Amino acid sequence: MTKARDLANVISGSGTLNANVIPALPASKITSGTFADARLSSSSVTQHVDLTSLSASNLTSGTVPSARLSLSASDVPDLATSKITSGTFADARISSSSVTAHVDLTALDASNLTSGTIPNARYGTPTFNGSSITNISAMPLAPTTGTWTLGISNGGINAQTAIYQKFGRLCFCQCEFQIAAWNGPGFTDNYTTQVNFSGLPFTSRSESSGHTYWYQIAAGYMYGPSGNNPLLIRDNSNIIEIASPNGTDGRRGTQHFHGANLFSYPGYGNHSQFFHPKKFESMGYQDSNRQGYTYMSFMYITDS
Amino acid sequence: MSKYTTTKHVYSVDVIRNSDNHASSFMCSNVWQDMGEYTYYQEDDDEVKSGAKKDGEVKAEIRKPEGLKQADWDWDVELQRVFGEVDADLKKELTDYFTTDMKEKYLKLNRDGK
Repeated sequence: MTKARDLANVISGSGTLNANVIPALPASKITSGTFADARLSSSSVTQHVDLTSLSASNLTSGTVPSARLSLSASDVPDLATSKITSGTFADARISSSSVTAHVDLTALDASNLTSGTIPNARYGTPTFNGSSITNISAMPLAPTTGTWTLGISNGGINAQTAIYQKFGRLCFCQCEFQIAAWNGPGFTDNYTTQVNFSGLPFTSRSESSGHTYWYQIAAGYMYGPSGNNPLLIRDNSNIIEIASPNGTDGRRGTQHFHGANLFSYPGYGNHSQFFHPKKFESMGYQDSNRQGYTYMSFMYITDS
Repeated sequence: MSKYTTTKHVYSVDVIRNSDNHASSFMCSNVWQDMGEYTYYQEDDDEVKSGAKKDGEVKAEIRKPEGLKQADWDWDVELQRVFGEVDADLKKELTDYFTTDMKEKYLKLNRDGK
């Protein structure tokens, strides 16, 4: 193959050219293509780029990893509180003055106490104005009122009107009545068994220790043809006992009426202690002016 | 039973008629002390006039005292007397509540004071 043919082949692009014969080529002649990474030496890059002296203004994209950041307190610029948008300050980071600057604990408005209960120890010796107490549920201002029906252990009651007024557990009773038929089965003038009334509107207070020498209840009186007779009501009872106005005959008043001692004096003793049946004879109708009405009023303590 | 309101106690039941507050308490049983029968000196007697005896003082014993007695109430009679009617529900409530045991304890209360 002649040298002319080799040259023609090189020119046409089908031949090859020995690298040793390629003359020095100025970089301006390289106008296309891309050098493979391996054709570029490290020094050819670093001679123009000093990675040890980068300007932060050239960081125009991406995010610096947190691991590359190391700030001291002096590096942190002043921060507006509006920039703190999440998280919670630890208690130790809040000074007392920062709170008390807006909260005066020495001048609290009681209207702000909207929940919880003030411990008793905080009351000390309070000063209350009675006019401020408007509703005491245990003792209502208005009583419960109604009627009741007087009963009697012997005989009957001809006509009656019985009313009550109840404030909490205090009950005030009144009753006006006439004695009707006096004789009942087995009843004679010699009948000695104590006569009493019954039908209290509410059971009297229960005394846990049972009957004592003291009648549990405040009492009252029965006024009528038989004179004035004290009334007594025991605990846990609906019975009204009528005491004789004849006095205790020297016996202790409280034991005079006490059930345990009452019947240790049959006949005479009971006759003087309680209302003897015979006294009811004088309570009946006499004439148009003495119609035999009897009135009783009393107050007692109820069990509910 | 909406006609009446009841409140139960140790030995009794309080009943209030709701329409008018007519109220009555009912004990579990009727307990009384039979004190016998005696005759008494009275005002017209010579012994009283003379001052030898007092009016009401015992003259003679006819029947000895029989002591503490107990009897059941006739609820038909009692309810009719107090309320003017016998409400079946109320009657049942009373009879169911007043047990034999309660009546025994009530008798004991009257006998022993507690």
